[in-house]
Amino acid sequence: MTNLPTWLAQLQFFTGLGFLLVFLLIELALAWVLFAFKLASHFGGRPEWVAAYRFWVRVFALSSVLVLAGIVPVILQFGSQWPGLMDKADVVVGPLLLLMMVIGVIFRSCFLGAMLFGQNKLSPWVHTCMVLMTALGITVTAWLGCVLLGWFLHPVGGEWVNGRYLVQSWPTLLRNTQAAWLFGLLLAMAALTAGGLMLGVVARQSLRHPVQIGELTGLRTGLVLGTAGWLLAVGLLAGYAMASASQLPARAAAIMGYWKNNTPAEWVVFAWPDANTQDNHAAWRVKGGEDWLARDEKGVLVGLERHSGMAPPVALVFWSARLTLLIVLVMGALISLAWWQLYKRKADLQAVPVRWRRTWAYAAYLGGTAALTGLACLLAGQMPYAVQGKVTLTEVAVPHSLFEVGFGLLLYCLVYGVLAAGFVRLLRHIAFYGVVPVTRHRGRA
Amino acid sequence: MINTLVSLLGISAHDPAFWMPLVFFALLYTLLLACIVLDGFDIGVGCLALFASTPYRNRMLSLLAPWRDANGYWLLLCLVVFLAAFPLAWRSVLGQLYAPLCLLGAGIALRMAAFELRLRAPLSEQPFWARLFGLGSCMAALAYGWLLAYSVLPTHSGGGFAIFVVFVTFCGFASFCLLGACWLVMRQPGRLRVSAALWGRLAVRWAAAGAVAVSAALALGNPGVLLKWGGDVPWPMVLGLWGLLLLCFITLELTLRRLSYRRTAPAWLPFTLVLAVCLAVLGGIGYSFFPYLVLDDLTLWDASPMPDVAPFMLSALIVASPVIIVFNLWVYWRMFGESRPPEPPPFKSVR
Repeated sequence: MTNLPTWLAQLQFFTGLGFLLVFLLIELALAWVLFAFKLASHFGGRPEWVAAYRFWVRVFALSSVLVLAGIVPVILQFGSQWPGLMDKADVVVGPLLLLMMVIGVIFRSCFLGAMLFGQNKLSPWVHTCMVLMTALGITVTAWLGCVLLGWFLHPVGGEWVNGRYLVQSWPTLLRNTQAAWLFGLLLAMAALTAGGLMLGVVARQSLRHPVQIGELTGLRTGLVLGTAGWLLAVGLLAGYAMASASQLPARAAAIMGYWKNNTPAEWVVFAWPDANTQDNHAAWRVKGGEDWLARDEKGVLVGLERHSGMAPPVALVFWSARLTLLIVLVMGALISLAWWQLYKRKADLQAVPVRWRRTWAYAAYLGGTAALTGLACLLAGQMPYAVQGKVTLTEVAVPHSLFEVGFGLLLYCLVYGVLAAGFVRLLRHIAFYGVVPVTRHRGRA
Repeated sequence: MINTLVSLLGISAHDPAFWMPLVFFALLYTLLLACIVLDGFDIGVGCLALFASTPYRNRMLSLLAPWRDANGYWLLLCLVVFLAAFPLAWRSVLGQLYAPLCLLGAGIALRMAAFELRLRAPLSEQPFWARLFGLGSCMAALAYGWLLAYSVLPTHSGGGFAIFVVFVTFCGFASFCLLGACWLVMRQPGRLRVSAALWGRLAVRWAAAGAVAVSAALALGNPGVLLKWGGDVPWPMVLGLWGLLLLCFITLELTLRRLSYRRTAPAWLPFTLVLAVCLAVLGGIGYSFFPYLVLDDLTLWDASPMPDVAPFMLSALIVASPVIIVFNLWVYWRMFGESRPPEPPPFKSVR
């Protein structure tokens, strides 16, 4: 894993997957939020739910488009960078991707279109059902994605025969503990990302004009969602790190900065891990953390020296894990502050000091950033393997020249950068000036 | 042909290991055709929009709007069916095509997102997104041409091959422009039709040259293909096919010329002819390749391991097919003929 093209290829794959993940998180959470708005408008009958739905459905539609735009490059990158993987894992990857695509296309073609463009043509309850089906479709697709990713991290449900994986039990593969943890984390991060986004957008609206009742509904929902997501994320991050230590011992040791076997375990809060000296420079340590490390069959704590030559990039894993945790903690602080300020000022957002509202507005994308650093930790922690412990990335990669990979990376970074900037700019625009209705007339233009 | 294949493979024609790859291949080929034709006119109009003046560009993009979301699925469907049904070809096909696939992925992402961002962007930013949509379309068109060049001569390299790649890439771009221009000629009367006819005339000869170059390279660069066309297909049929292609291109050129001079000519004819040419060329390429996925290297049966999950995958596709067919019929049934404005929303009378 030391050659530059392989690193750049991995970085390119991370860029594509990261772009997809951020907008998938927003799409997933907003789908359920919109369903909640629809239900509330039926049962509550108050107009603010309808107003909140009308605003946030535009953001949902936009993230939905960006998800669709992000899928094709990821599949192409998967094919052009790690083509050998299909020779070994075709039995798992093929059916899962096909199922994701079939469900995705059916739900998008049938229900998403009706949800976005059929509101005036359907009865309110039927339209609510369309919203529910869309949310279910996105959730099932996301779960299948987690099953696939979980299998790469912890291949279960079959065995390797002549270098090729053969599935013996699909239920075991689908009930993979890694997949369950990843799906839980995905839901938590989706709630946190969307909650932070809703808080940020409404805070920005309040800087521009007095917030209206629908916007306040968005704020309250965002706060509830963000709080739930934060609580879930903190619990699941800790639980996942402990539960997956035995399955991914090298990653666990890299996260903890734990080099030598069977030395006393410590929380390394801050350090610069050095793979050459196998030590942490300028470390700030606290005792504890044994549960976060793997033990071998003799009960000895497994350090990075056990994975000599096959260890992940320690500094990258170490820092991406801490950065994720730091951002999640900052988000927790901002959400708590929002609760406190709104409680103190009797839910009057305009009365909250401008500096806080501005902070929330700038922090709108922190959830997405946390998801990106979390993904970096996940992908880097898996290196140098493509399938944990069995297939390495170099085995399945096709060597490309540095120029080719560099050019591809630059091209993708430019495209994703422009699209992400467009999303942010458009969100600011609709926060200030309101949404632009977009209609589709089948066959007519 | 089926009997020959059965005897060569040594399995029964009723064995799923024999017919299932064929079914998947037929499905993949249909999806590829839909991708080239249905996403193709969209890409073509996008490419032309880059060179059109602002009022024309806006109209061209609004003409695409009813189909844009459905057109985005074809490539995705193609890729996933290919991946699921022929996983062992994944390395041979996609592993060697890094640069064009990068261009294709970036182009598709850019055009798909830029179109929707333009619809929602403030007025002052819409030209920026429209240009990005055009740029993404150009990237996708060039990438398809590049991929075609690599596919027909998979084992070649050197200076001559590089020139062939550049030429076919450019011709591929021209073919998409032709498809887009002919669709615009059919859809929109008035000055835009004249402009589209002029664009079509610029592209038609390059598209014809590309078709000839690809066919010649395919036959001369792969002895197996030359033998197949020389031996298996009766020569009057080969001549008839080439004659038909030539006739289509000449009629296309003449019709576009008449339309560009505002003379009377059926506006639907150019698009129909381009569709016929597309089907003939892609049909010819498909026949040349069959039963290989990578020429002289990897057959359908080599690439499809047919694990236990193949029946499950086929069932999933069979379940999905009615939905996909109904959805696409609903979406595409008005893509032919002149454009009609949308109906006004049904306002309820207030008493």
